[in-house]
Amino acid sequence: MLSFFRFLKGYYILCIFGYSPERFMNLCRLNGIILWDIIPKEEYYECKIARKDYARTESFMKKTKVSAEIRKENGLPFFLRKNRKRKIFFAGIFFSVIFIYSMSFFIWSFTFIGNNKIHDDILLRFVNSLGVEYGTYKKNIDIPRIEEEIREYFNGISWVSVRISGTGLIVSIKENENPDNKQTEGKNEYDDLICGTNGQIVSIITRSGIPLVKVGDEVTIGMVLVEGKYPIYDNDGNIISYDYVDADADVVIRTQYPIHRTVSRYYRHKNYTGNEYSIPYMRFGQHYFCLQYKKNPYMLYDVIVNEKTNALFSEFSIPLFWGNRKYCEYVEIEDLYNDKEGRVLLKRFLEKTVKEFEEKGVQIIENNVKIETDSQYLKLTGYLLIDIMQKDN
Amino acid sequence: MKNKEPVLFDKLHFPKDITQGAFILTAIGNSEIYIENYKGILEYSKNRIRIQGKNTYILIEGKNLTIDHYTEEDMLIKGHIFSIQYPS
Repeated sequence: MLSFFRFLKGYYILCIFGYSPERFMNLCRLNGIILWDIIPKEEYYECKIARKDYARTESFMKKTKVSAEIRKENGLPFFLRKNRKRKIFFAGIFFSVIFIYSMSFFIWSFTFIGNNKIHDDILLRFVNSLGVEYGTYKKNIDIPRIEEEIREYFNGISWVSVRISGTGLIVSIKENENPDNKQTEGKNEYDDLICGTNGQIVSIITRSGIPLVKVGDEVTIGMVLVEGKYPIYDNDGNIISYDYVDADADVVIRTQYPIHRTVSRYYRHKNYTGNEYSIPYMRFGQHYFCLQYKKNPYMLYDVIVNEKTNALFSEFSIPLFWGNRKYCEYVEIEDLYNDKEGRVLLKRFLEKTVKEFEEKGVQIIENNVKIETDSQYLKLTGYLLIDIMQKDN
Repeated sequence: MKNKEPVLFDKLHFPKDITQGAFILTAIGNSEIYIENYKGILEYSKNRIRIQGKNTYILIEGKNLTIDHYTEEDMLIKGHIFSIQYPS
């Protein structure tokens, strides 16, 4: 920091010759003139001195019979003096500072934090629909309204915070981990454990409530597995009232999960011809400027966009983007899956389904899936025997 | 009376840099020495620096010695320092 201020004020690199440079240094010190980076060379001393202090040292030089030579001038005042004729250069600096300053009044980036289930694009589209887009004036943004609208529109969000940092709008979200949990407030004061799938009970561990099923029972969707209503009996065995709790139990239900998937042998795929060209462009906000014009000669093509932006600091970006659009020509080719390719495709689908079950904690007991082929279609049929844990509603 | 002054200041636990004008030296390893409470430089070369204090001087010997800054309050010497000597 000190060297930055020295640069701003300007300084000289001096070479001091003479009989007693030490005395000269002492005189400077006693008169409040600061010398730094004093390096003894073979026949002279090199040191740095502030631009304004140099004029004051002349009398000390005479007194101590020392001569000084300015080796170099460093710092902003010297730079400005050297480049004083370069008016356009300074005008460029001036206008770029004005440009950056004026751009800092607008929103140029959106950041969403904490959203796992709601995609960034959906949130961005929603925020844009509230009138907050790229280039919106920061002072026109009603932050409490955005927070309220997000909370109302999206279910399963327990907390929203919107803030402006630099030129970016940061939306922090906390999603409900169990959005399906029903609030008991204002409704029944108890919850039954309801069956969510058809099957057979394999095991049941009840923590609260009265179990209505036992191991080996066949159950269907909608059946009450564990009731949350306790009857309270009097001495004669008559029910006098009920005690209500939220039913809580681990119920494992064995069920068949049917799998049917049919894939046509005919498919189309892209065969890239290798013909391609790129067009560089610049984008300012939503406005594109092609830096080169070329008529697109291809009928079918993919566009690969490679865009770069310039963030001056982590939270300060200006709306200037550049990059290139690459057009790649392709032709569509109709083809047929042979038996081997078809089997690989269907096996991949089955593996994906099994993996999804495993991620959910579902245990697969038996895999009873077959692949059938005919001249037109490839079919995956059968079922998976699975154990589903029915925990709560 | 004058000879009794240091004894008195010692008894009162006055700091010696104020009462006796003693140097304050802070050495960081053998590469930096920070010096306060001095009068001036007596001799300065690549290999030795002699600094005047109120009543005495110190001699710093080393290799490639440079003065990083030299102000009224303090000075910082950088380089490869071999020794700091006080005259006997």
